Amino acid sequence: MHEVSFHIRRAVSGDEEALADLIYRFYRFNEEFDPAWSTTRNALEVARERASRYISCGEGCFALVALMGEKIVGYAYTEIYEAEMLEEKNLAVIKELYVLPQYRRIGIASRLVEEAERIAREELGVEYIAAQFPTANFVAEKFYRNRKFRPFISIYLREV
Amino acid sequence: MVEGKEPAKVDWYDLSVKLHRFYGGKIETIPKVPIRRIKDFAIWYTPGVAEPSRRIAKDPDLSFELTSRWNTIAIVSDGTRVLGLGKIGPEGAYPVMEGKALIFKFLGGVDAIPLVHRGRDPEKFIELLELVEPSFGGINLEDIESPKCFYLLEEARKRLNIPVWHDDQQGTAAVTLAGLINAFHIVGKDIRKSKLVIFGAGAANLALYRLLKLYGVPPENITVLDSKGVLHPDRPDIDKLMIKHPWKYQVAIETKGGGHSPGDPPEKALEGADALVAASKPGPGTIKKEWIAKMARDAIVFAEANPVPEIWPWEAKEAGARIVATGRSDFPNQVNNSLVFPGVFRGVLDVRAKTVTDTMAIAAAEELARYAREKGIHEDYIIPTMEEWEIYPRVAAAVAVKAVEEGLARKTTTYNEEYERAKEIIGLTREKYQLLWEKGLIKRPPVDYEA
Repeated sequence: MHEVSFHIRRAVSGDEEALADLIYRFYRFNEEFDPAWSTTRNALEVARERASRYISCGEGCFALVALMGEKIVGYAYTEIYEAEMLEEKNLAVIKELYVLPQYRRIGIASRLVEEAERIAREELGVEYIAAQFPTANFVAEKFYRNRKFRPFISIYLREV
Repeated sequence: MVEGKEPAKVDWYDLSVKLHRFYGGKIETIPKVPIRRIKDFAIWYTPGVAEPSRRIAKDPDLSFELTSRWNTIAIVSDGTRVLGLGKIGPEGAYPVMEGKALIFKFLGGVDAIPLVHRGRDPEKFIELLELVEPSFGGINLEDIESPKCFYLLEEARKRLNIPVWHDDQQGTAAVTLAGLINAFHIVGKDIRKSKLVIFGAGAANLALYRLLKLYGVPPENITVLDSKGVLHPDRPDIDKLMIKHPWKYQVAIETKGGGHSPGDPPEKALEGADALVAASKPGPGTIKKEWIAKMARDAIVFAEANPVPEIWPWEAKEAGARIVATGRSDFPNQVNNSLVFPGVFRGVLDVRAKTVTDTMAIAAAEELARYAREKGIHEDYIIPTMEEWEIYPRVAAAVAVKAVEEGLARKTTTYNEEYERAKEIIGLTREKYQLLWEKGLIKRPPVDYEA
């Protein structure tokens, strides 16, 4: 389908606009599965702020982008959590993952997860990697299950 | 030639109700074996029938030889999208399915049973098909809402070992393809190097896209529009499509909008297009003259909505279209799936096919187109009409040979053999019917129209 190969790198200054678009799309995508994920009217604005934050985040998080030639076509955003009472203290959680529709099914999302895993293990000394997504997102569930992830934490929700 | 006005209407609705009531429906079963005396039942029923039963129990495929299964199909509908009437329920769908059964028998010699049901859940629908599979040699899905119909066809094809056909998809798409092949022939353009616009993304048009792709038209040359515009990877609702309508999503990804932007209006999408196939909402005025005027030289326009095409043929021609086809029998070039389905089923049933593929639908389209070319095509004759009886055995032969070639037939055959067999089966049906009619065993209608 696409003969040009893609590559993965950390998000850097200058990626803000493209990254913001992907973040916005990620939230819109999840909105389809659960109304509790409905985006705000200023979601694109918030996505821009987030993009800047992701690019400049320090030890606790990192953002990766996938490029096809010069074009940013996908991203993954990962945060590190500490649970002091637990034996395995540190946990890397992929909070967001998105690839543009026309660049799907060529392994970009898998490579983003592999790279997040590598950084978490080799650079941050984390032993577990997790992924967070709406329970109803069957696309994400299938994706992570196929990559040997298993259900770990359940979050239940109700209106108050 | 097309007149500059809509032809006068007959009150078909009123007449139809009166005659449906008078005849109490349209089909019945009649035995086809000798019943000379009561003792004959010992052959057809007990005790004799036990032996065919025993043999079939050991080899279920024998059911195609020792029972009527080989020539019997089910016309299955949940009544969720009946004609242009929408979700009118299974009972409401029944007259349509019965009408289809009538055409199956009369044009294809196929015994078809209406099977309307309440299974709205797609999984229940599929389960029903699996459960009744042993009764039938094929399944014709009919009048089912989109996108459920795409899922049902895909799943049923995977899970059943008999041909499953959705006429609103493959039937309409195949006859459209036949018309397009000849229309491009007349204008002297190569369909595989032309720009095509598909207006409307319902069952027929998405199936047409599939057939065109398989026929060798590059997806990037095709622009498909639904009610929200061009199907394009950058459309704001693209992720929603991936979840809710993966078939439209696939078109968007593969065509990339056919070189157009997601926000392009129809008139922009039609700029320089060689052909337009509209199967959307009834006109007139759904497609505008000004849009057609923007198409390439010798434009081809198929406006297939019923009862009123998206644009009147004379309007399309005034705007510069060279060839126009519609879904109506009172205009030239009627895109009518009745040209396809009787022959397709005749062919697949005669070779006891295990499935019916899109390549078989293309074989049917090519055969129809070839027949019309042999007769002599021109702007007002790109596809045969229903009265040209020879097309049914010819389509049957083309489809049967394709099924054998693809290794999907339980029985082998040649083109000539199947052509002769189909001609005989269809001819015999017509002869039997003619005899009943002439003998007055089919009652004369108490009310009628002027022929």
